[in-house]
Amino acid sequence: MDIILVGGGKLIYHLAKKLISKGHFLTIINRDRKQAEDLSREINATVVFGDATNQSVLEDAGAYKADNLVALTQKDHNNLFICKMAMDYFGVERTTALVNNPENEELFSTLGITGIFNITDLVSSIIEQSVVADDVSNLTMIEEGKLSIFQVEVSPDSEACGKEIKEIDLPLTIVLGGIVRNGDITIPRGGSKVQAGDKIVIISLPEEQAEAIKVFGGEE
Amino acid sequence: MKYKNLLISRYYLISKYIGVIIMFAGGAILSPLLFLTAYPEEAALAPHFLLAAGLSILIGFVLYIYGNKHQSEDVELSLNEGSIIVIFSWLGAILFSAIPFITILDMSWTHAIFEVVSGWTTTGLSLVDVTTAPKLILIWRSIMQFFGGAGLAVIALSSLLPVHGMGLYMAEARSDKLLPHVKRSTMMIMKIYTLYTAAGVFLYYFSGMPLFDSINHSMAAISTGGFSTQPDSIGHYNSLSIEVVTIVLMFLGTINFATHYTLLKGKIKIFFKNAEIRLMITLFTLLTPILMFFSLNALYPKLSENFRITFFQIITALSTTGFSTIAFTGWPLFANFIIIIIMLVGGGTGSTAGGIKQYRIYLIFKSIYWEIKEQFLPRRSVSSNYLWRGENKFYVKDQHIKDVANYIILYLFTFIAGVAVHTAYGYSLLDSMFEFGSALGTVGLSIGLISPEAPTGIIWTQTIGMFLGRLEFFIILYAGIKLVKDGIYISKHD
Amino acid sequence: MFIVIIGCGRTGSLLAGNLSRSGHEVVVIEHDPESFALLPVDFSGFQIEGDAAENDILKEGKIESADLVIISTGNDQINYLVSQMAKLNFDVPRIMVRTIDPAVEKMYEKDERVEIFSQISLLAENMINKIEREGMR
Repeated sequence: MDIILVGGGKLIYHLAKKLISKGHFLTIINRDRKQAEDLSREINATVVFGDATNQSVLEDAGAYKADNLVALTQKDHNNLFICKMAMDYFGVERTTALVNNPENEELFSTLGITGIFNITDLVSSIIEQSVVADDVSNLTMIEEGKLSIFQVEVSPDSEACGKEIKEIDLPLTIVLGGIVRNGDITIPRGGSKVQAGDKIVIISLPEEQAEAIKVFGGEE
Repeated sequence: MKYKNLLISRYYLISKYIGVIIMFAGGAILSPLLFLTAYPEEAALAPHFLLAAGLSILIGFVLYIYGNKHQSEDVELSLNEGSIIVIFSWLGAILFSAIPFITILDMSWTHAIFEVVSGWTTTGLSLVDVTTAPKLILIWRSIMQFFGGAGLAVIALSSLLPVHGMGLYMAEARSDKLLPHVKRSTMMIMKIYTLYTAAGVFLYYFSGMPLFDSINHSMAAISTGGFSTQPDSIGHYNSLSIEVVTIVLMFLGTINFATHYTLLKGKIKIFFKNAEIRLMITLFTLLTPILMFFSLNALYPKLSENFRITFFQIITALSTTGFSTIAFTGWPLFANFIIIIIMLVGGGTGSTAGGIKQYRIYLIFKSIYWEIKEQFLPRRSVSSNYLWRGENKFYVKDQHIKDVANYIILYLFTFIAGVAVHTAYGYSLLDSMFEFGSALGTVGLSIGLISPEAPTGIIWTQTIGMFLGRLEFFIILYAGIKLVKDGIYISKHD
Repeated sequence: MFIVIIGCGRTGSLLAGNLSRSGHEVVVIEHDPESFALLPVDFSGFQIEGDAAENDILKEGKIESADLVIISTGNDQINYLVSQMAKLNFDVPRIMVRTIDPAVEKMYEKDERVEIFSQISLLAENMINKIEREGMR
């Protein structure tokens, strides 16, 4: 896939490395001469030095041929502009923008930007979740943070300890993915019993995470 | 050469505006004649008003024509020009308003000027014997307070008169904008003001006050003026409902107009966050019990009577209205001292009230609090201190605190000077502080010094005090200095 | 009319001063407080200090009551974002945008709701017309 990446800093550097290692063809557009030079040395990709809000720079970077453009600059308004230009003028099919102001997520989406990374909401939900408890570890995030998969260690004084799954009072929208006991994984059924020290794999919406942790991990 | 022409064109504009406002004042002088429909027996007094109004309109017209001939459309009005316009319009209005008092009541110029200044500045101290004064004179006093409370500049700006400019608005001690255009802002102020006054008339009437008195007192209450048709003010009626109505109206009169607008739009939470509202509530919650239990319980042993009297007097002093239900001469020292302090604090900025104004007092105390607080924060921390004004947070910069502190110092200095004059005439310190504090703060409560027998020097000191207090000192200085500077420049470059 | 002006630079302040003088209610939103000094002495509208690309600041500027919003910062991209916010978030009846780089005009081509005023293009066109007219003589 031909991807154009716009932005600078370490994020672009490591992102570019990762994408290339997965086999994508990359062009990076960067506004800072020194950064552009460093990138060109370290990364096996085309590095274009210029301001991506400038149409001729985008054209030079091969926007006509790109399948995907990812705008990761620090400014929402630049990301919007670059993506819109890419879509409307160069016909790039998929555009992704980094968004700092959560309120812009809806606006950008209405304007046709296909991928939006609401960095603020993402980071804040990670922080919130990591603050909750030590024996909770986040496994992964799906759909830009809209779904959480995480793991909770069952505490001896928790509500759930010693009970069967069907007896535990859980919100209906939580799915129990697995019980890890002594290195073995079992898929939980209604009659499965939960013991202290078990690690429960849970799939839930971020809002419900705290509730689920309370039930299995005990009151903190 | 060019600067001189620029100055001259500005003065034509100034002349035009002063002319317009003085003509309006002339119109106002005619307004009491509307009451001839109710009191036709006073028709003989009409010529006096017509004379005063006629002179005012004539002089105003001359100034207008002179100014209108020469000026071009594009001249901007800064605060300095606005100051000159406000000062001279007020002086003109005062001059012509005094004429009926001289010709009808046979008062001297000193006394007549005192009375009309007390009217326009919404003070309320009086040299007129209200028991014998004709109805037309009484209503004219109340009308002066009604218009004075709104402000001549505000009335001019809100009307169809060809008067424009923020400079004018700010010169009359109005700072907050209700709406994003000065004309609409001033129109809104007039709407709110007139509405409350009309409501006041109804409330008084239905509390048992005769209609004529209701009209007079409502105008004097909302404008926080305090002129009464009775020699013993509101105390004359000895009616709880009338006192309650008065308290409500005085409270409304002392609230900043932008804050009124916030309240009328339904934003109650923001209303109660407002600095002045909070200060007012704090002050009377604190001071009422203190006064009641530490001082006045001897005079008024009955709790309900004590509360009723204390609360009323505190509100009238704080709002700088000047209605009273008792005589302060009978009060203990501590109570009168507290009243003096309250009169110094005064009412809300951008309202009809006087005094140093609550916002300034609140700001200075907040500033002290911030200083102490910052001492305990990390050395390199950055704070943005704010308070609520109208509907928005106002972030306070050091310059602003400096301006406010300067004003308070100037006010207190003037206060000391005026008190010194009074003591020089032989009055006691407390009486001097009370009476002059009342004049400077445009309150109108009296401890008895002001009477037709008082020395001329005292009367003039108080007249000047009322004028300085209402127009907040600085514009008088600005107008004076600008005139001198411009005068010298123009004459040197002939 | 109730007019919100975004950006108090030389253009914005000139517009604000004239419109206020003509009797309109004007609110100016600008992030650099020193720029407000460009407003004329008799400007009687509101001044809001803040980042116009934030919904909260636009609301503080009463954009919901605006009949017209004029977007005139020195940055084409910010102008674009705010124009879309005015259109989609607040449904302002009339939106005027100043554009600086002529290439940016294309971004607004399909946007019927936004009227653009391209400072460089208009100026250049003006001068070229004059040159050609005089050249004919």
